[in-house]
Amino acid sequence: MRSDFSRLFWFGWFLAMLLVPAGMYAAGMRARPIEERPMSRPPDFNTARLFDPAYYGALDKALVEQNPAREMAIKAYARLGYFLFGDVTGTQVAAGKDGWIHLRQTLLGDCIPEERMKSQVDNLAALGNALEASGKSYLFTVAPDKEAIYNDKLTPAQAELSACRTANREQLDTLLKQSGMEYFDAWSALRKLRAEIAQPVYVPYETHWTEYGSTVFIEHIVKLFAPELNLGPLVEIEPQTKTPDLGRMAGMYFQRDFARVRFDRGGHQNRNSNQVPHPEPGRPFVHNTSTSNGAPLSSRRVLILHDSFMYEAWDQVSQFFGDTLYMHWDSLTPERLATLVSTADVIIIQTVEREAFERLSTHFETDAYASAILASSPELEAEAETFWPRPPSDAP
Amino acid sequence: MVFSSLSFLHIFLPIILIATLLAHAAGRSAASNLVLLAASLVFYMWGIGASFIGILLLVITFNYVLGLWVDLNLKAGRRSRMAVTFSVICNVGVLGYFKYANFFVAETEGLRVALGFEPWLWTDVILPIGISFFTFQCMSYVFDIAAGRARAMKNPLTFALYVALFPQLIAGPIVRYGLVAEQLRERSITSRDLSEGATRFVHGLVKKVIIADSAGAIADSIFALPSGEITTTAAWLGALAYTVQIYFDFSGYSDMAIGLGRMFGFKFPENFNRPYRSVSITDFWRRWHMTLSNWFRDYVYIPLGGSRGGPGKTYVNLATIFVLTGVWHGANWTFLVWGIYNGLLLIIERITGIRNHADGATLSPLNLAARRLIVLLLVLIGWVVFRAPDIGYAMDFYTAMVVPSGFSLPAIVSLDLRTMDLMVVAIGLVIAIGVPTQVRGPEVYQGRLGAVALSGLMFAAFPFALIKVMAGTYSPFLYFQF
Repeated sequence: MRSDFSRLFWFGWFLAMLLVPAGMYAAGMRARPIEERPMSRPPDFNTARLFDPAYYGALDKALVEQNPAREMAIKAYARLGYFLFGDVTGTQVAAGKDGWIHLRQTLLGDCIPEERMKSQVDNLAALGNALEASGKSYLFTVAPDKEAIYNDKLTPAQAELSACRTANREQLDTLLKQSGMEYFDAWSALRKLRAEIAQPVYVPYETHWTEYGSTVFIEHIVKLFAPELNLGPLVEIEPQTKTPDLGRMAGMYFQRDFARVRFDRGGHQNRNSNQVPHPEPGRPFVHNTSTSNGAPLSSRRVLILHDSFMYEAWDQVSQFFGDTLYMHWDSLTPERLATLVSTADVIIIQTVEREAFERLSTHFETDAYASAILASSPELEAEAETFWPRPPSDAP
Repeated sequence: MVFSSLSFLHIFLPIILIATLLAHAAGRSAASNLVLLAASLVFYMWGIGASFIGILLLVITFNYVLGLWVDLNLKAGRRSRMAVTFSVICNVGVLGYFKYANFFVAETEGLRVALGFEPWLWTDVILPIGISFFTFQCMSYVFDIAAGRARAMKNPLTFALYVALFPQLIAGPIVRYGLVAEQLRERSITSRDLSEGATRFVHGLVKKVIIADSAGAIADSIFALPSGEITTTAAWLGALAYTVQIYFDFSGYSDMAIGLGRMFGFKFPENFNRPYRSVSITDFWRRWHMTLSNWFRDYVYIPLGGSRGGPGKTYVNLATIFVLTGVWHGANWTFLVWGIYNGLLLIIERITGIRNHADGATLSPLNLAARRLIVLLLVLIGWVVFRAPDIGYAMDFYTAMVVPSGFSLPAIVSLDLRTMDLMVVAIGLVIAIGVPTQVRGPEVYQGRLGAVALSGLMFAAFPFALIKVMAGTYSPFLYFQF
């Protein structure tokens, strides 16, 4: 027999648990955006909307996302599953071997017909020829998906599912090598680096290469475009604490220390912070570098078409090049590229493997880019000048 | 709105609980009825929009009028055949139109075109949630009054509450009018009601969120396989996972409904009684979705003559009931086949005499275990066609189950398979099969060991279920930094 007190205690506990989010809200705690997008807001109310089922869906979504207890719950559930069972939560990630997390997108996908891929590589090569014809240097490289370098971290099912991805990768690599383009085979370089050094070139909870991994790319472009400069010894600097992206996508949001490295030139200085965009919306990031110890910098203007893999590398790149300008694929158009290319000396085209085919399809389906670049004009060049930072000597 | 949604758990339920208890304390049942009716209409509207409130109110109105008509006839000593017939036509008509019209149009489209008619100009009808439940409740109301088992409800708001009461509105149990007529007029809410109601609700929430949803993740990924890719292992795992899912999902929802009703002072009928420990299919149907089985038994099977007309008539009546039961579950040939399959098994049990040991009391332990295993297997086989999108897929699934076609799981299933879900399915199966028949949901928490179980439920499983519900809403934007 239970006493009234005991009964009321259980009912009180039940009610209290239901009221936890309301209590947190009353205590001033507020939910914050944790899904890389703005939080849903309650939809505007009017009587007519009461008849619209979508209204309730939107209201539900807003109530869910404004729940201050939700973030803790997501983290707790995701971490419990991961650390107890090696499971990951979420539809965009998959658990591999040894605690590695993979982006599902890098495992699934259709095989791309060779003819189709070849035609896009040919268009890319046409762009390369156009650049060379206008006296510029260029380089194309593909930043590998981590599964290409750490395929031993895939489960047998994941390896089976990613057969097409593997075939596409090998085909693209072969075609790029056959095309005669200036191409950096980052797959081979990173596999070699992984075998040579103790430090990881990719980590279990992050899609991007580590700073150690990015050094193969830095080393290659410096040797290619500024061979007169001495790279200097590779040294470790203060590690950086980050929230790895795959951990975030799996809802875990744990933090890890990431090793950071530099080719030690001593005394270089970025005039512009590497994460600050150009003041004009939609314009590229700029790096305007000077050195305090007089170490020489390449005077060539370097334009880099890039994605997020460059974030691990651009501090390093700007150690060697006085003027670097970063253009993300997301805001790339033939006109914009033509404008920037007209005044650049070096053009580096970098894309991550998982997006490579999509980007080649979008931007190099035709020879529009090459045509646009060849159509460059004095007006275009004058406009282009506004993109580049002022020379270091003019900077305050 | 569903019971396992965050809006229900953290906003709707606490507000309605507090408001109902305050209203009950202030004005007894009449006041709390008004709060519950308003809450029920909001609950219903939240799911599908205010338009469908009209259908619910229409059904309530004509059944209320029919109830009064039947009551007047009874007082005047007249029979109410016309009113009862009218009730069946109206309720089944509404149910038929909303539930089966799309199916009928789709299935007859080919025939019409083949016969040279123009294709239908048809806009799909949206199915109002819970319509199968509230139309059946309304029919039971008219039938019970006509049979003199209950008196008509004079207060239209109280009758509306009987039909629309949100705990049982969208997924049952089917509460027959006679059972709650008195409670609607006057009821008390004691500390025991609150405590046991809350416990029962949490018990159901845990079953639904922790066990059923985990099993559902596995079943969904396997039943999503193209039929040519279903391996033998996948087929059995999928069928097993779905067997666990449907039981814990449906019985969990019923537990939540019963628990909610209890907290509001109502005593709803039980809907499940350890069905996976049945010793025959007859026994299974006495333990599975009991309120529906009882409804068909009392309002269709017995009026048709039941088993009083000799074996042949009994088999026809059984077959009729199970065709109706199958079709009641949804507008798809798969449900019809599932109903026929169950009806056939029941008829076979009658013919062979297996039914005579329906309660298992006279069976040896070995015989009992073997029977339970066979019945579970037969039920599992039935769930495959119940879950399959169409008959062809079900046939391919059965083929994969019996013809060895690979003993590994397809890679796409392995990719999504979570160890935690597998463990939970295994635990669910052990609970569904292994816990003694005598120990039903609420009894688990009685006695000294029950207190430990109750603490575990409330302090660990309940918070974990709430956490899982919240975690299930996480959907990060993928392209945030590529």
